[in-house]
Amino acid sequence: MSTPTGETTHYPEVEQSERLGAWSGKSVPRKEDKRLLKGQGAFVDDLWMHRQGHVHFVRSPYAHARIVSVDVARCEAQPGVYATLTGEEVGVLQQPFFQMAPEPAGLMKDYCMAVGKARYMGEPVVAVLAESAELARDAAALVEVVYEPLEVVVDGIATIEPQAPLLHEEIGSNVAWHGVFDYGDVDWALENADHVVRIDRLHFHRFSSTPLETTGALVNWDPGTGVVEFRSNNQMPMFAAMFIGPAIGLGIDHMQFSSQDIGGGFGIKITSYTYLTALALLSRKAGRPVKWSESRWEHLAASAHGNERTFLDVEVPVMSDGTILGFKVRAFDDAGAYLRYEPLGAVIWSQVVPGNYRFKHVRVDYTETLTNKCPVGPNRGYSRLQHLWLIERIVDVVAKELGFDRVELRKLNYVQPEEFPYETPNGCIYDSGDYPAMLDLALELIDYEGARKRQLASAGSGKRIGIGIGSTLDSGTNNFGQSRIINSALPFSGNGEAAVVRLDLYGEITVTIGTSPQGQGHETTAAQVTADILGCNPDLVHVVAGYNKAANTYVGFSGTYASQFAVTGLGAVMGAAERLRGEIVKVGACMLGAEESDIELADGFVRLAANHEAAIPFIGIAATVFANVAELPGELADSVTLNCRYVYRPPFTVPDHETKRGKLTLTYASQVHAAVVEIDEETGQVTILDYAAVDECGRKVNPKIVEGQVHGATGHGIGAALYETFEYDADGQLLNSTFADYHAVTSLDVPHIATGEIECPSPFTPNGAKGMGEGGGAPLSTIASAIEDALPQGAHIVYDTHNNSERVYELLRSAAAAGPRGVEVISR
Amino acid sequence: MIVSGEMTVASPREELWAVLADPARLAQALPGVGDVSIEDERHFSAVAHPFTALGETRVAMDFEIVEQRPGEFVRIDGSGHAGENLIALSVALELRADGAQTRASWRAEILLRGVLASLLQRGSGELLREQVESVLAAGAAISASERES
Repeated sequence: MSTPTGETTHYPEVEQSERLGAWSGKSVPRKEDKRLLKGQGAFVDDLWMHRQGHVHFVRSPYAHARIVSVDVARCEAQPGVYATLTGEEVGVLQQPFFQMAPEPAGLMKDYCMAVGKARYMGEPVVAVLAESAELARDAAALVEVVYEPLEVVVDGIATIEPQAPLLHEEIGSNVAWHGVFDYGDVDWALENADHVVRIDRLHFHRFSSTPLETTGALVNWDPGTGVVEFRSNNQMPMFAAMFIGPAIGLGIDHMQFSSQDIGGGFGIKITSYTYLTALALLSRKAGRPVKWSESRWEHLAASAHGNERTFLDVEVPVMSDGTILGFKVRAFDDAGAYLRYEPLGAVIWSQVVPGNYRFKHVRVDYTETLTNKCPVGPNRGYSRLQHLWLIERIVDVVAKELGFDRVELRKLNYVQPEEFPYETPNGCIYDSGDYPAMLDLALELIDYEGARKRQLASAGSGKRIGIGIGSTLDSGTNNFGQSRIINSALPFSGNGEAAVVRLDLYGEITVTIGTSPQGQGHETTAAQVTADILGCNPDLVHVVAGYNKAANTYVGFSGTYASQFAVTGLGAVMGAAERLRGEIVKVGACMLGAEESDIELADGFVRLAANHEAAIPFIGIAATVFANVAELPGELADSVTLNCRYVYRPPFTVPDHETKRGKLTLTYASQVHAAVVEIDEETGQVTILDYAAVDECGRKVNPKIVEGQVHGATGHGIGAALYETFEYDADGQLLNSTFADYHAVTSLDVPHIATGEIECPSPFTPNGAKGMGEGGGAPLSTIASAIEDALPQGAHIVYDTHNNSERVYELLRSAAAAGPRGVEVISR
Repeated sequence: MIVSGEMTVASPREELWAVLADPARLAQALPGVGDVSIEDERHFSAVAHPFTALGETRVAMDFEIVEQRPGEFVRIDGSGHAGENLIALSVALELRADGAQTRASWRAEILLRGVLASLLQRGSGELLREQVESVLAAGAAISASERES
């Protein structure tokens, strides 16, 4: 057990730019929308290279099978087939991917295709390259693979039993990582609490995201230069480079990544590096560019899923006044067959150990396991939404079992507005917030009192009304040093992002960033802050679309993930714009014969603050520096480039491996959602009658973009709560690998969302903003809460995140069955 | 998945059996089935092109007659693939004379591996039922045709 030192060491408060405001904070129309709405976006499948071939992957129909033999002769004999790549070849051409897990799981030999045996249904076994995608698919049917089926394990807890089949013999067990996170003194709390609420089992189900464009890439290994060009929709290319480079012997300088319009990433496109590796090897073998676009079923079955997590033996100490002291739990996280981003999820959740609450005593015994299912990736709200759902379940169950009002219980236990910055039991610092006010606003938006009346009036009608609340956090800008909590040998810590802002010869202001936007409006918001700092209209700022390693600047953790662009990306842009501003002012002062303090920038001009007639347009500054430099004093000419790079670096230190304490993330956006649902007693059908989403993400750069992301995150969460789930049978066969059975949420499934906002600027970021967009999975908590509120007295608690009609029907009938309810209370 | 069914076929049992026992004759009348090749009296293979959720799907199957009582019972096991999807099935067919007609009852177990398992989880039973009924109907049609000629 670790003991807090009693000292609170916050981040240094950051002086926030006074220049922001003319454009930042306004709903400027998105620069990206013109090309996207006119069908002029550039997605992977739009790309083309001379002599390109098309790839089809032959995939394992078995969840676990030894590959006895592979015969590609008939396939390769087909006219139009250029080449094939087998797992056996991969075993020779590729070193196993770098593993972040410590040993023994770190010994895992993970390749870009199955080598020796397949460990999940849909795992690539052979790649076929042909003249067309259709020909590649047809020829792939002629590949003859002989499998020896092996015993399968799909249960994330049973997999650690000694008799369970081993997925990776080199590891010696199916445990990927285990650790105990122990903060405060949970044993003391359980012994001294007035009540202990025990919950047997809670389950967070497996689902994923459904981007408009699935994973894809056009890859060319240039035999002359040895440079491999990856045009892909990978959302974190420099992370991919860390895996691909060592695996196939490429230096960073020999990997050229680019992307423009990624049709949604949601985190799961981070782990596409395995496919990029296979495509690179196939390109080298065939001596031509190779193109691959994942089919929808491939995406659903074999891209990446979100983490499935089971919570056992939850114990919650509660005082008689309703103060919840903390909780204790055993968590089992099912990572699927390989560790492609894992076991980072084993620590990421601890960014939000107490959720929105003042819990002081928490112990989580965390085990990550391997099963014969699709590997997981950092899906939206990654690893934190599972834990936040657990906490919201705890609060609702405590309220119900001990007779507290669930609204008042939350308000009593929330971190209070005056307590920010707030240090959590594991040393994280919540920057700002006002959760009680957000809850009040959410309840107002659903007409809480009116809903309670409707609930009473519905008695006996065959329809049951329930009201639900979900309070969650979206921790943004993470400290990669937290990876050392799971493996102290990992060479990662801190975070950062880079940007270049330059003034070109004809007075153009150009911005390049290291991020890979997927719809978050980076072009627009970067233009807004640049325009504020340089005193011009955002229309005059050209933000280069997408990411291109050759043209854009970058750092090791560049990319778009983990709710951080508003802080790291815009922090870098602001820093670079300030540097450029300084140079422009310096040159302008010289040309106007004035002091720098006399200069102001406005409307694209450098001018004297006291005499606006004395002004030079930006083109004049640029033309002088680039083409008329002899006019400037040598010392000044040597000191300006008008091409300014800045790396924004959050003030992180390395967390402590032993105590598992540290500052794991910089900002904490928050969400409080509320919903009114109606349940049909005969069918279990859940209908959302009212839904409210209140969001707090610091100072907004573009409110309309924020609102769009709130809608997206809410729709995604509602989809997961009611419609989206991956179901495997005992043989590891995914039963819903197409949209015929996997109900991806659409606008038809999402009710009107009443949105509300509260602004609590972050004191730790240069623009007061907080990363947002993932939404903390708030709808998962909210819908579960509402369903439970609608259930009859004596019903089993809501124990799963996914509650389709069948499950709700069973819950409704559980009251009459009078069986175990999944919860017990011990009172002293 | 296990599916079963019964149907009455408008053909005498012996005539129906004679056709069913000769896959080469039977194949001529089956929609979407081609490339039937007879290896020996117990083994044959066929390629069918049923419509699945993947569109018209090429299914290549090898069959073995594992048990038979001439004129009344046959059990056939099959294995094959549709692209990278694996298919295994076992069909037992029992014929009983019913006057000038034949009462046929059948039971089949089908195992799919790969995306077809997902696509056809609700449709494979119906698909198999259609195939078996097509075989029986084709057998009746051939025997009637041969009788007339």
